[in-house]
Amino acid sequence: MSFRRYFQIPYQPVAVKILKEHVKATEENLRFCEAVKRAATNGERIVLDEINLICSGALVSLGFVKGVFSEESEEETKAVIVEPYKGEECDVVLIIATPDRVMKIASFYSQLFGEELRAEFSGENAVCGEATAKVKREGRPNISFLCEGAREYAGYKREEVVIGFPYETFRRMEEAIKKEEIKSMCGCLMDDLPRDVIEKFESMGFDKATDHFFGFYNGKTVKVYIFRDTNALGLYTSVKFKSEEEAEKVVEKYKGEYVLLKRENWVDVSKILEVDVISEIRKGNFEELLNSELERIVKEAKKLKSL
Amino acid sequence: MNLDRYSPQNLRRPSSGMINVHPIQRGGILTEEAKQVILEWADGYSVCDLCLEGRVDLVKNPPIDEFKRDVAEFLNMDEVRFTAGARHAKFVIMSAFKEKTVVVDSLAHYTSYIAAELNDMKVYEVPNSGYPEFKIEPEKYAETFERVKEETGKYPDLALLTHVDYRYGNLADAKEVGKICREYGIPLILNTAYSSGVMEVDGKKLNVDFIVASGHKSWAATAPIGILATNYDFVDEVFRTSKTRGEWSGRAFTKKEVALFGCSPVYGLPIITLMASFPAVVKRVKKWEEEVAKARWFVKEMEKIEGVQLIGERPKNHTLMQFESPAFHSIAKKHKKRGFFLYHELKKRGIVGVQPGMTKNFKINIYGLSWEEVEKVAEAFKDIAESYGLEVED
Repeated sequence: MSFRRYFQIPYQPVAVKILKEHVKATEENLRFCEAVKRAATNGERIVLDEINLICSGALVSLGFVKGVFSEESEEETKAVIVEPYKGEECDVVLIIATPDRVMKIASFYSQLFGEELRAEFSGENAVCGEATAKVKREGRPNISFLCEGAREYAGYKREEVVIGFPYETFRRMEEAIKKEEIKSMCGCLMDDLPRDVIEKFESMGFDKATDHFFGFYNGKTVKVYIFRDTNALGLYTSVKFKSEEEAEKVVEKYKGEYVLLKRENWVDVSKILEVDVISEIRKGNFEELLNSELERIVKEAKKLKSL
Repeated sequence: MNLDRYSPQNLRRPSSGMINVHPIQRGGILTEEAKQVILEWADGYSVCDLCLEGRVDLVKNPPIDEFKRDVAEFLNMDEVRFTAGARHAKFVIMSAFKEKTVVVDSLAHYTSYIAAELNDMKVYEVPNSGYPEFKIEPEKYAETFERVKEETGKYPDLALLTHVDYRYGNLADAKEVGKICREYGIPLILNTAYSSGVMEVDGKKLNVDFIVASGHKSWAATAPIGILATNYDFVDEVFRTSKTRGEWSGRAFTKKEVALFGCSPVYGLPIITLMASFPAVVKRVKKWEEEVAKARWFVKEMEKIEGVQLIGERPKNHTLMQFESPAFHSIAKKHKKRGFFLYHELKKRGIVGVQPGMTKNFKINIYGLSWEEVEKVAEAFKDIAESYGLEVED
């Protein structure tokens, strides 16, 4: 499946090649952003050079001429080919998309590369500079919200933006799509715990199960459950006995501060801390609190075997 | 277009010949009787050859009309319709409660929420007990009804209980919830997708007003087919017939039941396999205790593996179970196949059905497996655990 089909984007991806040799230009005067839109919409192949490229901003940002106040471009470009992307090597691949599609692309990108898709833009020299030249120069994708010229003359709709990808990045994303490397799950959310809370537990070595977190402390499995109504913290660990009778005796003998619950031949050791986990995490001293509680509950659980 | 991918030799089921412990598969495995009739009835509208009354549930040959009554008797309810799955049955019921308020248990299947959403209903949830049992306590229904009254000024119009939930396989106390609903005068839907068809369910004894069931999940039928059973109090509203009239032609469809799309879409294999399996289903529900015994034995064996523990209610009252397995998850973190290692290791041992990628916690259903097969599944897990250096008790 292609990138376009995967993200259900109406326009074709556009390949941009920035060349240091002359190529016969298209016999029509055009802006770069206009050429990109036409390649994406109609599948046209357009060659621009210093003569038929009529946007002074694009001439500078794409390196045809050196800017008066800028040292960015090297004035080496002799031609730029703008054409529908068919998998061939190029410098930059441009995608015209709406924000909802950009959202999906960004999610895919961050899962694949482990970093966020960025949007650095100033509203000037946009498709040519922000989405093309900058992307080529820095080797990282960028989202541009376009410029006056693109909106006014090149026919971009109000809701459209452009993402530029380095060729290699785009190729890798296509490969990941083909190999189904990024799995989309069922889309059901099992809770509405804030992201920072989940990340805090994960940073402490816990894994999130469907309804709770689990991890190890001093070699023992421990579980943490956040109560829905109060955000109180439930701490749990379990001790397995050879028989139900043995488990029952332990529960009877126990005189400590933890709640013991026999469930068949298991004894669950638990404690509910009447704190608001979410605000404790945000205050910043949660890790210390949790670790000391885990230490105590694990120690207590280990003692049960000798009761 | 590569049409070859659709050729019969390429349409082979990946799980063929293996023990399938997928939570949704066990109760839907066809009986021998169903297998005997499938080819003859496999054409699209096969059961409609002799449709005289314009509705599939009224067809006399094959005996769907009689079957409908037998299913009602089996569930001890008054009236039955066949639907395109339990989800469709829930939608049909809720369409009679449009824009009203429904209380559902917090372990309900997503289709319970979607059915409510489709009917613009306001949903309130009955909390579960949280880790480690996640139980739905009946008295929480009463508390939730009171909460709804406080917030909206009146009690809810409808309640739903998931008899056996798909996440932990907990068996809820339907009888007690039914009693509470009766006291409040609130009609109750019992979602028996994982219960009726494998265990006995008696609607009258449980005080329920609606039973929804899943033919493909628990009645040994080909998907998609569900069952909606209710009592005469609700038939007029729920099975209401069409009132529309063509404004130019004057056409009308007075026998067509609106929420069932006029004639419920269960025309071929779904209804035939449900029917052919029915005698076996009637018998098999009597053997439920043995199924539970196997499940309890299986839990004990699984928990011999270091770091594997059942979550949900103990002792098990159902064959669907969830285990948490931090030790398998630790292996997955270092394994080149990551979380998929467990799936691959089980497959090598002839077992499928554990969700690929799942190692933190996974669900299994052993319904209908012979004792030998249950042992084989348990041994496979233990063997995998040992091969990765986990301790397994003797």
